[in-house]
Amino acid sequence: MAVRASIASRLNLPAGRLARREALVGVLLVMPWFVGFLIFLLGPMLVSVYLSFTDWDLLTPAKFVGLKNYRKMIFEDPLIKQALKVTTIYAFSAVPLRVVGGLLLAVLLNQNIKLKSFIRTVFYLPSVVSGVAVAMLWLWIFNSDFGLLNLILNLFGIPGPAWLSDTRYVLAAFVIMSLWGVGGSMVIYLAGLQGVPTDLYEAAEVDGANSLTRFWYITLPMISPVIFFNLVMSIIAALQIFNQAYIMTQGGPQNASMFMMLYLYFNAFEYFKMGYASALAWLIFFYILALTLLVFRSSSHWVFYTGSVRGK
Amino acid sequence: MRVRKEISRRSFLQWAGMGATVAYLAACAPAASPADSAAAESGSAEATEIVLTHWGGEAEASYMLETAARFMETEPGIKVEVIHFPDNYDEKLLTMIAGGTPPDVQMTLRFTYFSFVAKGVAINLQPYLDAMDFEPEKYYDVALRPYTFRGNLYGLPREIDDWVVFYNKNLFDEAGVAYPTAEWTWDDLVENAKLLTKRDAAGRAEQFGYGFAHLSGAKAYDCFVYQAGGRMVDNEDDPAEFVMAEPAAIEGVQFMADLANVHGVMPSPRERTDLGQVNDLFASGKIAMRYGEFWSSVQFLEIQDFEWDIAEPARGVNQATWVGGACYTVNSGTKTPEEAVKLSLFGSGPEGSKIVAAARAGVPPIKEIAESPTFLDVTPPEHIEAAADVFAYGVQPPMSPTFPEWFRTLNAALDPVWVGEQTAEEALTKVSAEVQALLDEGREMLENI
Repeated sequence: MAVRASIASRLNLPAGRLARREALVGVLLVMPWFVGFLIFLLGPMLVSVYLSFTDWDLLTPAKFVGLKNYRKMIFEDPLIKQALKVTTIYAFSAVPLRVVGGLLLAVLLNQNIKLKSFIRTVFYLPSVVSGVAVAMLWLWIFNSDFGLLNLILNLFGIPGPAWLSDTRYVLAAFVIMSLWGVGGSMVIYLAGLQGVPTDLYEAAEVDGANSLTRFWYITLPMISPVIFFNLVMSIIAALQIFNQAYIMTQGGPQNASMFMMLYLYFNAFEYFKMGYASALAWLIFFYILALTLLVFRSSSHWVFYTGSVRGK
Repeated sequence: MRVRKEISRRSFLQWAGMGATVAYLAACAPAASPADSAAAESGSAEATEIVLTHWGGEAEASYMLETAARFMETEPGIKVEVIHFPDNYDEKLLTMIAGGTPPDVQMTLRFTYFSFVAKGVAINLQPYLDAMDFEPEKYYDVALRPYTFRGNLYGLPREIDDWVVFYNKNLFDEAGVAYPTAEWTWDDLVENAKLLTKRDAAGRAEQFGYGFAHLSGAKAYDCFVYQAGGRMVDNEDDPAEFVMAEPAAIEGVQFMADLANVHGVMPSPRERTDLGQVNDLFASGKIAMRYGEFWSSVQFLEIQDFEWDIAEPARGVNQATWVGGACYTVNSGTKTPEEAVKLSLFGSGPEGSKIVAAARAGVPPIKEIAESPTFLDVTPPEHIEAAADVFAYGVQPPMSPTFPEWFRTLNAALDPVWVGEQTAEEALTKVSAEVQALLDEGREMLENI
């Protein structure tokens, strides 16, 4: 008991036997992830801070070079600008589409329609398929001569572009492809939608609100925490895009799809520049952190939690 | 005190959480050395265990295992553990090395081989080979030359892979065109490829005269550069200067681009969006001539609908074609270098060569095997000897440790040339300085060896 109490006080747990028990259970439950984070993430992260100040080819011992990697990153490497540019354009196009698309889909599939769970499964299924298989599949969809996409465009008399080999279209191709995983966010929205109390809708209906008004004034605010969650997760995922580009374009044509993670990978495992790759990793980390913080900051204006007053 | 004996959901989760944590930590503990248990099992305390890593598909996996098994028969004192990484080989190998558990022998691609030498990862094999029964005169020249650095061998070839022309005999007969020969010039190539190309009324190709296997023309354009009488660097064995911005080299690159954009006899990047497609098009009878690695003849064996053969590529000012392949290198972290070199020598020598020949993994590096029925009697292709005839004018990648990086830079710069947005001259003039800087960076590394 004494040991428990001291652990409890050290962890700053609330007093009271039941509350302490609850808190301890909580700590125990997060333990696997917490220990996993300490061992498999925090350690390597700290090492990569050090490595980013060295020249390391993975094969011979690392040599300390001070700020050289960061200097190269900021002043000398033209590909960084390109990588930041294409990654940002991709994220800013793919994230809104995914967040809004997922929401619309969830609202549609939350209605009482026939074969509801079947259709939901159909939309969710793509999120389960592995990244490599998906990329191989989309290679065929985007094929300029025989691909499904251009075949459909041809039906409408639109000559389809060479999606993956034209610098003007390759990013668009990746954005289109990103909608493939929209079922993942849809499922989370669905859970959110089902958590909205029906009495709110009933009250609004009595007051004569039409469905659009109900959606705008009840549904949206009530699921805003879910939108917030999906937005943050989508931003992080979009800025880390790698698999698709690695398999489908290798960053081409003319580096038009040279995303940050891809460039990092090439430096680390093909050019033997692990030190520089570590510096790049921190650049990506802070870029993602900055955007995420921005979204978090803005959240007080548009995210509504039950039990608190909007805007506070 | 406790009344309830059954496990509540909460306490179950609680214990499961603790259990998972413990399992986590246990998994991090160093595993018992497999060598100990193996030795204990076999009962022979002297059996030395060595680890061999390689990449590739099912075919590679099976013949590498065969090589290892045959080796263990001849050397009962050595046990070989074969580790097969089907994909992302470099990444996994580098991680093994960086993690302090390097393999003893690593299969290495020409592409990264020289980086390994420059970083001191691949050891000098010469002192060991000199003490062994090594007969360099049995090998083809092109088999050993790329792995010789400052007079010493750092790698031993598993096979020689080169670029030859695969052609569809039926399409040639149909168009009334004579089969390609080593006497063909670039003009013959263009003229005949035109006769073998068919387009519909809308201009969409139904059949191509010519095609390559690679997306950005990697390996292909250096062939044309050397055929045109140019070079990539001033001296492949010790490159100091990047010379692809000179007229002959420019002409070679431009010729290759024109095959698609001016003559229309080859699929343009727009027409071949993914990597394997040219091979698929050839296998389905839509490409009359496919210039590419001899190694892929394995995948054409299943072709039933037409007959095919191989020939030497057409000549420009010079004859030239790409020659490469994979090699065995010994990791500097090995504790048993002698055993590791023995395995490399076995895989590269007559025994290993026979396995390579039977598996059609490339041309065996040992002359007498390549000239024996083991290799020559496999058909198709009827003229399999063409794959060895091209050795006389084989082109090898420059020995520059930064080659992987500058080759990628060069490829990105040449992308607009393949689609006809820039001329070869514009692109090469523009990228020259950038490639030169990377080449210089590689030379600095070499000074430290």
